[in-house]
Amino acid sequence: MDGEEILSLIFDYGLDALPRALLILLLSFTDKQNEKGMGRLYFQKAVRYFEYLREKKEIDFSNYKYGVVSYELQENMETLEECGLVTSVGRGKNIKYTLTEEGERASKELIEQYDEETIRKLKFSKSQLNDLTISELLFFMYMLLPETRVKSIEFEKLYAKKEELVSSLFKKGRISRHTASKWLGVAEKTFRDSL
Amino acid sequence: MEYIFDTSSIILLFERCGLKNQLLQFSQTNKLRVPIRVIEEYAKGENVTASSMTDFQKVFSVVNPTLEEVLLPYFNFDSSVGEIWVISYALRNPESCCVIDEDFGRNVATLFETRLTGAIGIIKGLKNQNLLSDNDLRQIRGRVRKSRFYLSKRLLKELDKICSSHQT
Repeated sequence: MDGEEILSLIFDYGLDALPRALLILLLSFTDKQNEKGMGRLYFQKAVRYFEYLREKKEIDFSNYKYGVVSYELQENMETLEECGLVTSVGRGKNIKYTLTEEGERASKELIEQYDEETIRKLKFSKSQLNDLTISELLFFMYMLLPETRVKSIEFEKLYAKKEELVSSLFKKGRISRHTASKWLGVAEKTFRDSL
Repeated sequence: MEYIFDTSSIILLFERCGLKNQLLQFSQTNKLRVPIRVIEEYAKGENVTASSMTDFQKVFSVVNPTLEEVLLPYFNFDSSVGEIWVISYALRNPESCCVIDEDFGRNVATLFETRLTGAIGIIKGLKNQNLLSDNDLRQIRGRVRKSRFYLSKRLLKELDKICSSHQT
């Protein structure tokens, strides 16, 4: 396939639109368990984390029962599936999206369109979140972005288990000792001794 | 080799393992650096005395790196954490090797493709320069395992490997 054909692939599927490009790119990276597939909550949180890292809001998010979610991203994921770039297994909470061969081809060309720092931040977002448990994922995002707790039905329950969740996020290397202590409201030494 | 140390690694090597003399010898053939922020963090420790700070300064030279702002988002826009200064230094001095033990900092260092080791890597370096006896290694293993200092299972396995390979 030559360059012109690939570029037309990006054009044909509307991958010049940011939400679609981000979804295709995210699905092309592996997480810490070497997995590429992403669940519904996971890709939404990963894009929001990416936006936090680059301090730019271009995707439409709202705060709902499970914290920050984006219907814009969900719709675009469904469109990508209809176009044959993405496939899914499972249903509801257990649904997992992966790229098809055509999606993988598109991702290779999309990578060339973005600068190194953008790609680094996207990869980091996925590697930070994609293999966490649902509780860890939600807690991490609620603590990182307190404004997303507004309509949460989970935050209070998770916060009651904060010692356990912070310790697990620290041991998995997703937060520093400094962040862990801050989230628990204790001195760093107290946190270190608690492990 | 040039090493730039984070606080946790210094606490582990210097305090928990008591390797002050070996590190002093190691510093004759290697450059052991610490960012100002790390020495500030270390100096706050409850076991740190004026005499231990004097020893510390014999082993480590203090550097004042320029903060690499590209790192800030990864550390929640907080520059008070030691690792951000360690990695900043390594990005400006690519021949240097970060010494970081906590997994989060190690993940960021890896993401930015800096050279990376941890306290266990330094113990290995001391061993390779014949600065540690079998007895020293046994004591180190015991102290690390007994201390309340958190090291990932992977690093503890690595330490066991270093200690056992010396005995065989």
